[in-house]
This record gives sequence, structure tokens and C-alpha cells, in this order.
Amino acid sequence: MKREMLKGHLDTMLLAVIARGPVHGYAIIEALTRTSDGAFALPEGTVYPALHRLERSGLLASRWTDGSGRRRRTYELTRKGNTALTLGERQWTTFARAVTRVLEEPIWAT
Amino acid sequence: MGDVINRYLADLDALLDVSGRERERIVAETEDHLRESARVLASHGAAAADANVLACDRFGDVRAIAASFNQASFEASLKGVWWQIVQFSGVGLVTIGVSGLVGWVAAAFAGKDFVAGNPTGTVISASRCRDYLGFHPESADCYRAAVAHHFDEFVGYHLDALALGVIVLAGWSLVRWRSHGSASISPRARRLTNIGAAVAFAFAAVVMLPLAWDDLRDGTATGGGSWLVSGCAALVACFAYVAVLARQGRSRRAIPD
Repeated sequence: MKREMLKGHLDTMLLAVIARGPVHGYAIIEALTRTSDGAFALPEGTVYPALHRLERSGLLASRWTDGSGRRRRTYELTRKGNTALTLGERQWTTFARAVTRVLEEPIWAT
Repeated sequence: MGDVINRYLADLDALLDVSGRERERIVAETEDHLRESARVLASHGAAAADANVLACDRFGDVRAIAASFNQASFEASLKGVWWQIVQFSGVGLVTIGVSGLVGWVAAAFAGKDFVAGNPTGTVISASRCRDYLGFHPESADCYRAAVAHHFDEFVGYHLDALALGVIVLAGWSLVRWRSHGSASISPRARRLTNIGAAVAFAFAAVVMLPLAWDDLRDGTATGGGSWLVSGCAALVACFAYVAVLARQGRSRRAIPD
């Protein structure tokens, strides 16, 4: 999938993954790749600037946690992030429905 | 071959143009990701050395990754530039105030005429003369009263600026402390505002020092001292900002090819 197509929707997808519970960066990327059947296999490092940006916007909160002997940064959704996710889902549904309708419209014989 | 990850982290560290705290976090987070990625790859059968290389490849080109962190940090900190401008305003007001104090000290040695003397050829009208003598009845004549009044104004206004500047800087420091330092302002944005401040102070000095020279070459009793102390204060502030910029430049790491 072209990166440009992903660009506008990456934030919503990240929020959706993190909405399932506090999670660290590697697991977020792994979940994105797995649930999309590898369709969103973008360079893993590009996800972190997006996570930091979402955190600066107040949609995510993060903290260091100690797990399996390692210190990792764990992200979770804020209330503002939850609202943004709901809005993003609604916008995507409307958009996807509209595109689908256009694509499935029968071609009229001239 | 653990070196591959270490080298990647070192390159990333060198290429990042973000504040110290953010840099530490990015590098630590990247290391955690790369180690985890390599561990998973190794558990799927990859040789340890290959797993490290593949983990770095999957993470992406280090220059592109650093550039996207830098860009995100810069965009975020642009919003914080206005706050840097508040700091600059505070420094400007304090500089004005300090020049008032220096003028006050200079007047103690060189006389009030040096700071607030009337320029050659100044004519004081009868009504203004009455006003000045009203402000300073102890003065021997109109001219002395005018100088005393202008000196009071010079020192008074400058001390007001000093008080206001201290309040602005105290407020700025308080908010900065409460927001856990300047982590949200990228070094690039800070450099830009510091360059702006240095240029502004240099401009002020370039305007005021020739005015001082113009007045003082006619003699010391023409008030040129006010331009002189203000111009010198602006010059000192300009040098201070240049020194800060030089220190920022030195602390920037060399970017490898």
C-alpha cells in the first residue's frame, strides 16, 4: 500500500491500537502489521514520531514502565484521544462508505 | 554484531536536533524497539548477527528517521517560539533597566548633565521653565531644573522597565519550571529566536551609539550619556546572545556522513 494512502489515517489507526490498553511502541507496530496482514508494513521507526506528535497534542499519555527486565515507554489513550478516535472512526466510515458506493455504482450503458 | 544496533543508536543520537530530554527518550525508546525486534527475529530462527541487522533495516534509514523526529519536534516547538519571545521581551526590559542604573551611577561621577543635559541650542519656554522649577524648586535656574527633571524621568522610567522585566522573567521561569523545562522547544527554534534577539540588540546599539557620539562630541553636558549607556547595554545584551548561540553551536554534535 502506498505510504501517501496511509498518511492521513495513521493517527486514527494508532489511536485504535492503543485504545485496547496500555502498550509499548514495538507492540503497537506489531499489532498494526499483524491486523492489517502486512498491508501497513512501513518503516517501523516512522511510527515513533507520530506517537510523540499525538502525545504532544494531548491524545496520548506515556510513561516508563519496567517489564521483562527492560525499561519501556508505554502509551495509553487520554480522554481527548478517545474522543479523537471516535471522531476518526466516524470520518473513516463515512469516507469508506462513500468511496465504496462510487466504486460499486453500475456503469450505465450509453 | 551487537555493534550494529549500537552504531545505529549512535548515528541517530548524532543526527537528532532535539532537546536533551527528548533525545534521551528517543534513543532509549529506539534501543528498546531494536533489541525487542532482534530478539523476536532470533526466536524465529535468524542468526543473532542477522537479527540485529534486520531489526535496524526494518526500523528504517537512520537519516530519514532522525529527520522525521527533528521535523516533528521543530513543528511542535514553533508553537513555543512565542514563549521565547516573552523571554526576549523580559531580557529587553531588564537591559533597559540596567542601562538606567548605569546612567544613575555615571551621573554620580560625571554629573546629571552627562545623562540628561539639554542638547546644545535648546530653548526652554517660560511655561516649561515654570513647570521644571515646580518639579525642582531647589534648582538654581531653569536649566538646572530641566536637567534634574529629565534625569528623574530617565532613571524612573528605566527602573520601571527593570521591575516589569523582572516580573516578566519570573513569570516566564515559573511557567517553564511548571512545564518541566524547555523540553518542548527544539534547539533549532531556540537558535532562531536567539538570532532574532541578537540582531534586535545589535540594531539598537547601532542606532544609539552614533547618537551618543553625536551628542558627546559637543561636550559632556548635552545628555549624550543616556544614549551611551543604553547603546552599551544593548551591545552587551547582543554579545550575551551571541555567546549563547556560540555555546549552542559548540554543543551540536557533528553529523556523520
